[in-house]
Amino acid sequence: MKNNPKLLLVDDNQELLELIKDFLVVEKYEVKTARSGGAALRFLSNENFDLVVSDIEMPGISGLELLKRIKTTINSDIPVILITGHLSNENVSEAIKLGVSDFVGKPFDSFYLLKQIEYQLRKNDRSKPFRHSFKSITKKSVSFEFDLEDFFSENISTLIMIHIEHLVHMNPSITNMIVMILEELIENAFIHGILDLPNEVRAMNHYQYMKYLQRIDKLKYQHRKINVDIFYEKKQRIITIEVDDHGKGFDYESLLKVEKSLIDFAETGRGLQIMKMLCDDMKFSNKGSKVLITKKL
Amino acid sequence: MEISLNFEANVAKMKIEGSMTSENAHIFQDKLKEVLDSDSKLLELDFSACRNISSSGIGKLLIFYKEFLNKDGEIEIVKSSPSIYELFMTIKLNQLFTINL
Repeated sequence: MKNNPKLLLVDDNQELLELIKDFLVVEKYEVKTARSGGAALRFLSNENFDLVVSDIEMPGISGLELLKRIKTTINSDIPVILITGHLSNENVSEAIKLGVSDFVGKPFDSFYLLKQIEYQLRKNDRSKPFRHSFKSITKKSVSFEFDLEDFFSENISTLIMIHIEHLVHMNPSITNMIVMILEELIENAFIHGILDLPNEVRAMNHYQYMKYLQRIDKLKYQHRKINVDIFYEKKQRIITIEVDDHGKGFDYESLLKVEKSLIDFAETGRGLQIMKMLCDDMKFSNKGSKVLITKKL
Repeated sequence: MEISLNFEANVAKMKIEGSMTSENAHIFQDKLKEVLDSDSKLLELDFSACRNISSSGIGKLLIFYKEFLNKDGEIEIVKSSPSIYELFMTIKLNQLFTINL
């Protein structure tokens, strides 16, 4: 992170603006202030900023509109933190889709805001070296092959997360959902495809489950593999994930037929229900041992 | 992932920081069990510093919710990061308990 990052603070409340500015200047930030979205856009057109903090509720150009214009016309790489007293669900979803870095609720603690600013600047710094190459990419794919040993020696979640962050280069919300989908599909393939675990084992608590896994004859399962193919089409903003465990499959049909709330579900099937909510399309083949997921980003 | 848990009267306050994955979701489950074994009637969850949550983490939360409800307990997500908020809303957890940003 550079020595004196340059911040733009936007709020129609002059008093609050000065208070935050004074606090951040003491923390060695170079700070400019704007009392409207329009003034902020003028600053942003003429100068480079490392981060923008803006109130949402402002007369004229609102914080949401400012966010949209920054991301579409100024520089999509600038992190934007929105300060808000109240936000409707629609506005939250809209802000997340537009690429907001974080929200800070009113009233807020200056130290909390400082922590968020520091975190966003560090995060932005880490991804800078890759940004140019990401812009020129139209299609990307990554494939994995896992076996039983990987579940004992690898941290699969972290591995997936690193690759997905680099593959789609989207906001954390999208990355989180894709990682969650993958984790669920791979876990499912592990249970049904590699180990063919009975329900009573799946109902065990974590410690009993781990003990059970430690005791199994690994040689018996060593030839079983899980293949994961992830394909990302940037122009159409579609990601497809195929997971094939080559196993006997499972009764996915009866689980998919159930339309209940998550809490009504038995221990089995909840993951699949979550998948249905997160994906745009989910197709099973080979008796359930192969699944193809499509998600529009 | 780090989880802090404090009890104040009959309110349990839990803060989750970092990434909750399939590999560490059992730590969350252990903390939820502590809440279930206490006299708490309200669990306030703070996900503001949580980057992501796995489906197994959500599974633990839902199982806990069901058991806690049987004890007349309630859950409230008092704070959440944008990505966690979006995820919880997408899978309609707001139909079960209050979720705040």
